[in-house]
Amino acid sequence: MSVANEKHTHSETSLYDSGFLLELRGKMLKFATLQLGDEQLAEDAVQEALAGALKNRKTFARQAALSTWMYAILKNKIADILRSRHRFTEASEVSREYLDEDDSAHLFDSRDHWANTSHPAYWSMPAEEVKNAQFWKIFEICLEGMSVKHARFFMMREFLELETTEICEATGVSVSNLNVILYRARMRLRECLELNWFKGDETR
Amino acid sequence: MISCKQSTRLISDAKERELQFKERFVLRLHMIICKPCQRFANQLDMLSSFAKSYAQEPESNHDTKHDTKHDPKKNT
Repeated sequence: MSVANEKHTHSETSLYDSGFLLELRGKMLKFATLQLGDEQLAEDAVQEALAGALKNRKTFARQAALSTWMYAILKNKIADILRSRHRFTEASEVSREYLDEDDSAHLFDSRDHWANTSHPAYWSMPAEEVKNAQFWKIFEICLEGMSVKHARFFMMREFLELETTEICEATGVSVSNLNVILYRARMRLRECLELNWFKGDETR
Repeated sequence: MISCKQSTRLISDAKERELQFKERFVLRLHMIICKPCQRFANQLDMLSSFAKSYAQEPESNHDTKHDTKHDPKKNT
């Protein structure tokens, strides 16, 4: 992962710096492949996003701004591709897999109330901390720790901000299955962040 | 009275669809007395806002810009 390449986070380090661009490209490609499930399509989408953003790079004073911009382009591209995609539906692949395991059982007691040990904690997150690189590392690790499909649907819904109906059309999942998938995804991501970020609070 | 597990499912579903009257009613009742579920609901809102901020200047901890507005309450 990108841990190794943290050398230049300073603002004005050149936007043309190939290390920075390569790393960004790698991250975007990974993300696009997750969403599209197709490396070639992902490659094309990332390429377009890079080209589009680089064309306007004079506008970006800082690498961070460039990266935000590229993701914004990529996000739209992926959303477009997914929207136009009904025909590629792999409905058969979809149904069973996500629905089988309910691994939140350990959070609840025999009456399905929160078990004593797993009461949700109070999450304190000052606004500036949303920019904390360490937090995003944990966030990504948690996403990667979920099943690929859970991560994919969660990000489709919450990052790409596709409508439920659009996701169902693009993927062939029924609305009720989608709701289950998103529920499970949220349960997992929530638990992972709680354990690895918010509860680790005191020790940070 | 619904269980916490049922309540968490409704809280998640509420982000996807409009809950039926009866669902809203039982959820509200539950939430009045259940602090853990109130926290859970807040956490899901925070998850949404994290996801929206994903890829927005995550490496910019040297800059002092304050433009990452996100309002966890503002979910449709």
